[in-house]
Amino acid sequence: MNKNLSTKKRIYTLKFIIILSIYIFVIPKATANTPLDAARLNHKAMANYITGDYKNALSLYSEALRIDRSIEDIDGIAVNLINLSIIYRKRNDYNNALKCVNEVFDHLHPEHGHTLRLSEAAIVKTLIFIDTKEYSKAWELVEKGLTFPKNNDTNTTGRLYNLKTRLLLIKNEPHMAISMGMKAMQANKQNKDDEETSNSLRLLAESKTILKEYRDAENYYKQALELDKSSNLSRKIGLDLFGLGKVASLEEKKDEAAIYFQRALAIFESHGDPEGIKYFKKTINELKVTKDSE
Amino acid sequence: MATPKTIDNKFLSIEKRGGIFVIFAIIGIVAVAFFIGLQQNMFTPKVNIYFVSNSGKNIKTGAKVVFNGFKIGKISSVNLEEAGNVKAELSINRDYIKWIKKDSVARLMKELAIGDSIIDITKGSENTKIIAENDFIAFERARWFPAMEDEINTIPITLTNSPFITDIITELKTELQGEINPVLENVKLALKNFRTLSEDALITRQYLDSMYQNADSNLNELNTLVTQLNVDIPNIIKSVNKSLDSINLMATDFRKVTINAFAEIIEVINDGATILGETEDVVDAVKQIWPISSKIRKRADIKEQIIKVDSYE
Repeated sequence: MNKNLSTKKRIYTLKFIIILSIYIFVIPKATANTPLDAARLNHKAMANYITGDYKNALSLYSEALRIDRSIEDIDGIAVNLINLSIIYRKRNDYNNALKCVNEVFDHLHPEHGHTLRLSEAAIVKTLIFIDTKEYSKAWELVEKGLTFPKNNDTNTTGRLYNLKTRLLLIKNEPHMAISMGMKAMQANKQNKDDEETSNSLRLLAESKTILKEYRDAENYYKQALELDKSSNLSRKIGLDLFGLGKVASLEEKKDEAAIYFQRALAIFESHGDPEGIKYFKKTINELKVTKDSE
Repeated sequence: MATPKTIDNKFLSIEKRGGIFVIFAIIGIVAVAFFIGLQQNMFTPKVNIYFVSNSGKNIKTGAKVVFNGFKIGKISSVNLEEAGNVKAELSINRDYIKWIKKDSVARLMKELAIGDSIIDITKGSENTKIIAENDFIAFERARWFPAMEDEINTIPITLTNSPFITDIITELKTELQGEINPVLENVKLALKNFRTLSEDALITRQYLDSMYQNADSNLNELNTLVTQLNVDIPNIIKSVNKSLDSINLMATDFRKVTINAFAEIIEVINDGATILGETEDVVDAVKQIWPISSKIRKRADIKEQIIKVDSYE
């Protein structure tokens, strides 16, 4: 009887140890959040963003942000906040976009080596202010973005210069825009960033068009077109062709202009780009008005 | 004096029964995990190949990869490359890799008119080598359902181009030509005769009279035919209109059925995606449990990516 009792005690102790081990070693491991989980969610969100499923992308980035917060991954938090801000901006939800990007500025500091993320955040915030037509705030921010120590990061510098060029064009200062556009082009070329180099070239072409230096404008547009074609960026190709059409139209080369416009419209339509078509129609109308007033 | 403790006989085998229950439960969980893995072809040896697209639109992880309509693998991952291109990894069952040649093409298409996207691998040339592991395959997009939807929407507009209508018009034309051609020939002959007669007007009036009679009879024949056509053409037009109406009705019904089916299929797809997501969670959790975690090969560390925002947009 006593032997039976001691065997039972041993069994109870063994069971207790097994259950305790499961609770201590197995369950927490299976349910713990890891940086890998956040990264996987971030990648899934990116795939959704690329396919245009912004709703899913938002929820996946939010979940990745939650994990990053739970493990205090500062860089991950900043990356996901910036991504969320970009998507909110795409959905025209500027309030939430600003909330997310402001949180990046609240938590990151240049002296802690967060300059890259801060520069990225400055670019996103500047774009939001350009969208909401708050140009003076945008100007301040782009200046602030350029003051962050560089870290050899020409990637964000080139984009910030491009944004400054855009703002100068909005202010109707084409001469200043050309000098800034040149700096932007140099930085982007140095960084081998073809997309941003073509943006610089297009901005230079726009400045030259305002100054009625059509031959230079045409040259810049053609260089941008070549780069965009090599990168297969259909919307940008459409914009370059449209710019070439605009220049030809201002030079009274009607047949040439018509061909460029037709090619641009075909690209916008085949790409299913409502923004491109809207921009196309708006500029065509502006061209008509300019011609009539002349 | 201490009294010995008594234990109820009912509880003597409770540990044994509890232990058996726990063992069966563990066996059950392992079996479920094993069958899920088996269904997902997790234990079949795989070969990875890749393709690169300039857009990730409709390219989704988990999408089927088929060859000649037979599933040979799936898209295991879709990643955004530094250059902004999308790189998809196709996980192909090792047994089927022999069918994929170096010049085969991965075509992104819909499995059905309405449904999820799949990758269809085309048959390469016979003399070409089999694609190697981690090699890249050419990629192209087939026509999509949205394009077909556009066509469905334009059915009433393009009815006049349908073979059915073309047949009716051709038949009508042939019938009319058959009736009118002899009359025209008669008229031409009559005019020719009339010209000859006018040149020989002086010869005989009797001859001229007979020619007048001939022309009269031709005109009568023409009148009869025109009357006949007046009766026939409205009937033909009526039947054509009826056919057009019924085709329009068919098109409307087809569109209704398509829209209803579309809603149901989307629901089914969403359910499927949820189940897949849950399965993935279960597999993930199982993967992390010791001793399973020690047997699973760890992937290279992946970092969180930032969306590259364009300064011109």
